Amino acid sequence: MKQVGIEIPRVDALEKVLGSARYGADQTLEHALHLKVVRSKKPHAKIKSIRIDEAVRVPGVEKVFTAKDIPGKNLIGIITKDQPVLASDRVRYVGDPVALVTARSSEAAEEAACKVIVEYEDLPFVSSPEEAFKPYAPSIHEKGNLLLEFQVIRGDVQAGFKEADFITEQTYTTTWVEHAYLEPDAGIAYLDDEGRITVVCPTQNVHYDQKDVASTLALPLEKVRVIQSATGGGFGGRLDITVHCFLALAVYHLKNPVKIVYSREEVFQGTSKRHPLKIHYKSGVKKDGTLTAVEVDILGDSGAYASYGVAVCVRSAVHATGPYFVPSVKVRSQMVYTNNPWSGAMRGFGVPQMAFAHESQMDLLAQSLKMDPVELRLKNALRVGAETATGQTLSASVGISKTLEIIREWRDKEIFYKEDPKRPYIKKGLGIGSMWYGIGNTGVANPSTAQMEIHPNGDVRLLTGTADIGQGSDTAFLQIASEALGVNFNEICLIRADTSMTTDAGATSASRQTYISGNAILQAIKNLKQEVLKAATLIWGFPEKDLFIEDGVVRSKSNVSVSISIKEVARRRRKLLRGEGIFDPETTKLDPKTGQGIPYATYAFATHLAEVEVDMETGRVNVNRVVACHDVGKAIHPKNVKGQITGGIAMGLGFALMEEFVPEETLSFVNYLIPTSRDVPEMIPILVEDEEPTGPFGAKGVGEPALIPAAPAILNAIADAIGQRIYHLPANLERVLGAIQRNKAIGEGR
Amino acid sequence: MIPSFDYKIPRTLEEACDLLWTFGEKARIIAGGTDLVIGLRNGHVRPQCLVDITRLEELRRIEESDGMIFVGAGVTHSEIVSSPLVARHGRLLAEAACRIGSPQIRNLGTLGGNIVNASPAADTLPPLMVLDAVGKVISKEGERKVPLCQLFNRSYETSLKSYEILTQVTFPKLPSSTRSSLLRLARREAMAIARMSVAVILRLEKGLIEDIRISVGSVTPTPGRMSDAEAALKGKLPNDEGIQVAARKVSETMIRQSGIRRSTAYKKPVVEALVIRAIRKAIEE
Amino acid sequence: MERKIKFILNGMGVEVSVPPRWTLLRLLREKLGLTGTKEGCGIGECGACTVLLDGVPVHSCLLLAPKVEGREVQTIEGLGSRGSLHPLQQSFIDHGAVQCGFCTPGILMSSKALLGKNPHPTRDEVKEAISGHLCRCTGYHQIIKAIEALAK
Repeated sequence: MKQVGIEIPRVDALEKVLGSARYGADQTLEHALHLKVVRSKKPHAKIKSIRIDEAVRVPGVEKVFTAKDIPGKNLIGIITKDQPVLASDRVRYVGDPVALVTARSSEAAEEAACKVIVEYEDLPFVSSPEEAFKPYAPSIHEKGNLLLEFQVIRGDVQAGFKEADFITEQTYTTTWVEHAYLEPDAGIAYLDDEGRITVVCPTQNVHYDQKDVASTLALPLEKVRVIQSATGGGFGGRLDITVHCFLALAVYHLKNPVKIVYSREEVFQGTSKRHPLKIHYKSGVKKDGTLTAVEVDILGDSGAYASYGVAVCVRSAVHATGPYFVPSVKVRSQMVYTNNPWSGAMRGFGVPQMAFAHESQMDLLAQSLKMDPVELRLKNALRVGAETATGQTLSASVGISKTLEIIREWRDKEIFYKEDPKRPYIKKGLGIGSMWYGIGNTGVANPSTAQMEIHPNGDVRLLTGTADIGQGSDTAFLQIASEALGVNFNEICLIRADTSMTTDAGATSASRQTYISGNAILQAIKNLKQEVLKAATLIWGFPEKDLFIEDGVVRSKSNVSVSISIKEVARRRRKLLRGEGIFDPETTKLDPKTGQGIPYATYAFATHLAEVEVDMETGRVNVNRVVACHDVGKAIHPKNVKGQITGGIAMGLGFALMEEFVPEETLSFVNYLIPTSRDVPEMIPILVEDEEPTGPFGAKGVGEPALIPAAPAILNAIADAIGQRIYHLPANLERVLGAIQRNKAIGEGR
Repeated sequence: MIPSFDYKIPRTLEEACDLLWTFGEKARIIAGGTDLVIGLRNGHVRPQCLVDITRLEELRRIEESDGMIFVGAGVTHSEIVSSPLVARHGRLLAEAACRIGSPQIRNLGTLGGNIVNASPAADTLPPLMVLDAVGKVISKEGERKVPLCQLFNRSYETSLKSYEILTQVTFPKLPSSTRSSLLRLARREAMAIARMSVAVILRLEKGLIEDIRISVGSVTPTPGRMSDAEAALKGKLPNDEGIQVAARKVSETMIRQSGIRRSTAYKKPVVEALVIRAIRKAIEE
Repeated sequence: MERKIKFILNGMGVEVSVPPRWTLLRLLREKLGLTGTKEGCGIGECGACTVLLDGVPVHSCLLLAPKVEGREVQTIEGLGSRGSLHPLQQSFIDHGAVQCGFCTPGILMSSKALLGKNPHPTRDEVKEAISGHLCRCTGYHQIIKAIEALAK
């Protein structure tokens, strides 16, 4: 392989280092009107009236829109359509949009937004998932407060626990986490030459955006065009509609270009968060370390709207066991509405929360067994031929044991000192965390499509609907196409993420694009090659089966002197040669009662090793080093894969130690802290390439897997250091010191 | 969105004083602007006029004379960090300045700004308290000196009049045998408000504590010295028992001044531990 | 109420009229069309808007426009050009230091200031120099390596 597995310069890097890449707010249009959203200050209230007269009188104000100006369906959402673009009769969280101001300057828009007067009638509100079930709890949506209950049932857990020699049972909780992508949401919209409403903004999925914008405006799909601008990160936060419908609604009515730029505060208030999960986890193990059963109860807070709640509910249940074979499994996962900020997709869809729980459990069991935590994991690790909790038999590319073995070597390489003689208040600890992650959406069709073209002038084009949000899919796809077609990647023009030019590739989410869209591209190339061969037979008159393509050149089996480049074929035939590709991973729908089935075609695996030091007097934790070993199938671009891993470690460190969104208290980066360069540890990313036979050149995915094991490893390392475990994330100063004091109290009690 | 105002850049201190006298409450002084611009942006401050004092040369100097160090209020944190004079005679101040915010903030933010913003978590205040720093205040009414420990009314409020300018901070050079230490605790290693910071200055004479000065940031509404704790140590042997007593006096002072809060359960043991650690660190220096 | 401001921008003298309440960031982006400098938070907490003022990194979101009067400002647009990249820009490309790229211009400016002052920084000095920048994608690892590659 010449183009795959090498480190070509990222195709987007040049514009980005020059500062010339155009993100949402960098787009300019002459005479664009500025938009400002008016948001609810109430967690749950009936809207009695919205008075806009005073706002409209602010000089420079064009119009103020409310729900009644929405011509189509005022309900959006990728899975469950329950979220109004602008609230009509009631608001369900502090930040719910109620009106949209358009004005000739951003100042006027902001001033007018303050003058929109909304009269509310307060409703009782639900502030926790537990409350949502109470008989007196108000219904947040018509169908009640339970969004979904999903179960995974396999074997007999009662019998499994009877077989167990040790059982451990604990409750773990996690809180809201902000994506904190660096670019605040922003964008422009206008009518293009063909009269289409055209929205240009950062996003993870233009084709979904197009559908919800069209339905909001009651327009046919072809009347709406969504183009992805350069996108300053996503991490799941840009899978939902952010600014799109506001922009489109204003253009629809005013036929004038418009622009919106969210402040960071508005991003914090108005966009989705990671789901807080409460996980009750019971595991049983035999003396020899064999897991016998797990029983897990998951309660998730979807907040005011569903967003990806259904996906998180199901995925967290499916991944509840961790990357281990467990004969008896019972998982109940519930996702409920509250009047809290709405939760949505965030890197891992519930699996980072689950990994915190199952990896804490594994260490607790190892402790009971007095067994090496790596040994315990290895003993139970999934392998080829093993069945998962949903009854899927894994047939290939199960690299979990390999990652554990490598991590064990790193752990045992040096003598580790828990104490620091110069700093008696410091205790050090080592911890590991493992994970598995199913690539793609869970038990549902999630196809991708792509096209590969050779134009009559010899231009080679790759068309994909995939949004590159910084993860590097543009570069990886060019490598895949270059390798498969035998044309240098510099000679391939990539067209991406514009609904008028590309076809649906599905979302940049679920770590799916390399595997699924990569395969769609391979399929397109296969079909293009057929077209090339057909065209070549017409040039020479050789039969098609005598011809073959090698390194971008058509050759004849019977006559070695015959060769012609595939570009030349298109030139000679004066014809556009085109291959269509489609790929949908082989999955089955999960049984609604037992969760049994094949949710994913392949899984990624990883293990992290964290070294921490804890200040026993202040609770301050420093992470000194993380060794991160990932089975990615095949790294198309090793440096970019490692970049995903190091980024995942940092985000995992934030999740573990400092990130906590507190509704109505967390307003900005002043009190929402994410790791800085001085907080991150030394990082050692290691790749294991246990190739996936169905993957493009063996590749799986790494985006979310990069994050998932980091926090569990750090939490296990803290437990190792202080002799007490922390069950609530983040492990901030107060919680760590609390745990240390608990330990002291136990010690003194003896 | 920042509302409109007039912007004045006086060339002399006199001109600045005139402007402030004329505009009174309607004017605000701007130096580095790292706190003020945020206040403007979120609407907490709505001045009609800003008076930019960063071009006044006399506010930009660090000097030494008659056993005293003079630091202009318009000196940036970065300039304090790189000043040999501060390094030699007021090291604690430089240590505190180099942990403020981020490099970008330190390049804009000024010593005077950090003081008059009067945040209970202001990084330079514990060092200035133990350095016995005195502020020079100038206005149309003349010049006055105010010990910094008397400058603060409550959190985020000083006793300065709207027309007064803090122009300089002065502190005596310390005898060479003086030891010092500074500890800072935050939720993150950079760009984080101090959860707690402890400044200690200590001098031993024949094995006894001749001079001890302790100030702790982020635990009391206004900065000050921990005089009960200091009194408990003065003249004594620097032994563990005495240091522990002093640490308890600090937490008592904290609770007396700030009351029992949700954060007290955490702060009480931690402030004691950090005070012990800071004193020991100073002794062992 | 506008105010005339003269300053040096990327080596060239400029004179603009701007309301004093505008920040340098807004002036650069909205009046001068230099959108390489980004707004990530507006309150000096993320570093995306970092430019060099007389050679030192500052937040352009916290700097009111009149403050640059008579001074020298350098932005990402003045760092290098398509045909001749600054060595730091090339190193960021080579080391995979760019992912979403939104923090990149600001970090490049701080890196330039660091190497100008201290051509051979230690790893801790590199980390310190970019500690005023949030990056959510990279974990800083490859950014640090890109800077270090020029520090040797």
